[in-house]
Amino acid sequence: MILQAVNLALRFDDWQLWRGLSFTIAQAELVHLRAANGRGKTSLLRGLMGLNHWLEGDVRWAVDMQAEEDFAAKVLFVGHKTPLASELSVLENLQLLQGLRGQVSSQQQLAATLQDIGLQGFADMPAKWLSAGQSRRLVLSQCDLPSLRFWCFDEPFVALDKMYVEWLVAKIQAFQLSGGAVLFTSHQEIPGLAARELYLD
Amino acid sequence: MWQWFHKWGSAKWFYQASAAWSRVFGYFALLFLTLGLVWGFVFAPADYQMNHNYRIMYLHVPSAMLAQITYLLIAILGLVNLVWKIKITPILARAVLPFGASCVLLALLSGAFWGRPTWGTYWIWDARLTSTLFLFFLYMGLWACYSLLPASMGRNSAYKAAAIVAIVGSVNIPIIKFSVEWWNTLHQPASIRLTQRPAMPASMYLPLFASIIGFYCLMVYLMLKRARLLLLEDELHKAWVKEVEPKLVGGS
Amino acid sequence: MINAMLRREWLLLWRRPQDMLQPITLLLLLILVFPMALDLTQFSLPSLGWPVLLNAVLLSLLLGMEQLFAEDQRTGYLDQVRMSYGLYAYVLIKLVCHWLRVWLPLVVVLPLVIFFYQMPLSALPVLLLALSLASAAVVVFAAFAAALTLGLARAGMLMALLVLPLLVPVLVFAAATGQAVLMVEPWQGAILWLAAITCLAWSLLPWAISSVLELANH
Repeated sequence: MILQAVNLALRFDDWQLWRGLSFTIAQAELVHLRAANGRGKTSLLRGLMGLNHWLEGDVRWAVDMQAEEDFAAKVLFVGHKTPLASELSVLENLQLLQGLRGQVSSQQQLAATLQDIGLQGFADMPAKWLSAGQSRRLVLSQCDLPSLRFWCFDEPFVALDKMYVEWLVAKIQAFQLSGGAVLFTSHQEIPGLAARELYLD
Repeated sequence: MWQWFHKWGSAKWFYQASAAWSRVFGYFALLFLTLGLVWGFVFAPADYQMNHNYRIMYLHVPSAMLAQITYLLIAILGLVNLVWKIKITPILARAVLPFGASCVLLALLSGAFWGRPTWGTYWIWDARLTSTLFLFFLYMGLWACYSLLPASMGRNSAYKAAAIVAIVGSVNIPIIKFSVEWWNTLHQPASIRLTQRPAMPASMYLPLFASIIGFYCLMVYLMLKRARLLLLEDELHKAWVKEVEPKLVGGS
Repeated sequence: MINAMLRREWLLLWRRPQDMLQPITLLLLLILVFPMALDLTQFSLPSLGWPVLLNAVLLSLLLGMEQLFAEDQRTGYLDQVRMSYGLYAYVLIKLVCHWLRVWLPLVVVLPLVIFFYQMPLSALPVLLLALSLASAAVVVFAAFAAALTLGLARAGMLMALLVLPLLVPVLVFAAATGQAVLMVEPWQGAILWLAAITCLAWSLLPWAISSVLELANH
């Protein structure tokens, strides 16, 4: 088991979004979170990441993921936003993203990562000149960090072209094979992803 | 004890119970203010130094006292909200704020009209006057927090943020007072000072006490009255509002 | 993890020179325009220089400070920080780097003020110390207001309303220090009070700032 959500309820100020939501995510499981617009998908993901308070209920993480530094090393959250500093270079941003999870990579590893996301040759370019798709790839490149066990993606396929949608699907499948679990939202139907569906209502 | 605590968490209970309390405090405020002010302004003896001018003290002293105590009360209510998360406390804090700000204004105005005949000027950069003036801006800042922050962070977070502002402000008030006194002794000639008054006869200080008690009661009365309205506004679409005030058509 | 956060703010300190130059340009202009409003036969410039500088520091450091946390919130960097190391360390690092951003240009400006206002150069070391302490206090109070007004349109006015009354003690003790130095009187008392207030602010407010940032991001 990666996480177990028990009887969650969420509200924004006085507007209650939903209550009594329980689910479990096991190892090597792929879960597609579905709901209509404005039903609180993003709020649910942010809540699981500890960024929102629950009105009721509790999220229990696997024992080895509860400590603060374990959580940072083992859980990857990629939301709508791209947490890049626009004045810093692509390489510096990559190092910072990894550094926030307590990971330091060698120059060769960093170069290989940039190669993987098609940003080789852009290492010294300021991040503000990246396109939306390139920024997203840079943020998603963190998924290669070996310590990770759970990915939480909010609309990860947005802004990616066909080639990199397939790239991400392959990453997800490989992660699943290695025992990792993924929770994601997506408006697009992604061929090749056999996910359990979780509905919010 | 816990039951008593728990009751304060219930908006409905507070709304129903506070109707009677506010009435009681309202009558007490009327009684003591009438007593204190009529006694003070009409019957108390004239001062041998300041003649009738000193009578403005019966407004000035209570308002200056309550101006500070109300800010402290807001900070304490904020602390209670942050620690015990009692729902009604931020509403009480928000409700009492205009009273505190008005007290600062009243203290400054009455002080000016007292200062004119006593010192020959409406305003001096005296330590007490100056720090009272800054207290007014602290109130305004807090007021702005209560009215603007809900738009950016949601109401419940805004209440907590405003509580933090009030606590930071209340830690600062003594420091501001101290610094202004320091500045004052550095720059003011010693001749203009609030005179150390000799002991007042009972016929002078008894009306003052009555007036102070009256101001306290007025504070509680206005706080409860306004808190009831704010509570209805905040919880308009809750079930208990329709139950208690069926004439209000809430939300929908 | 702290290394990563520290490196980020340190690099940004130098990659955003406009953030360093903007407040100091306003500061310099305020100081140089001020004598134009004076009849210099009636006022003595040396005694005006320091108070004018302090007031200009208060105003100019507030300029643009409402943006301190805005970009980090917009890009989601704050969320990532909250998930990894927590906000307190982030706030401290941010504050120290921002203080450097305003302090470095102040070191250059102070001799100019001394020159233009005909103050004795011997006062420079103590004035620099007082200016450093005062600017550190201004930064931490203004950051508190910036955290509060995060996400509000036109936050500048509210920031001034929240910050300036709280900074009265800083202004008083910094001004008293300068006055004592210029009159060749003992200045230690005033500057110790200034240091005490700055230390108190730096020990309590970062905690308040991270709580407010937490509240603002639910």
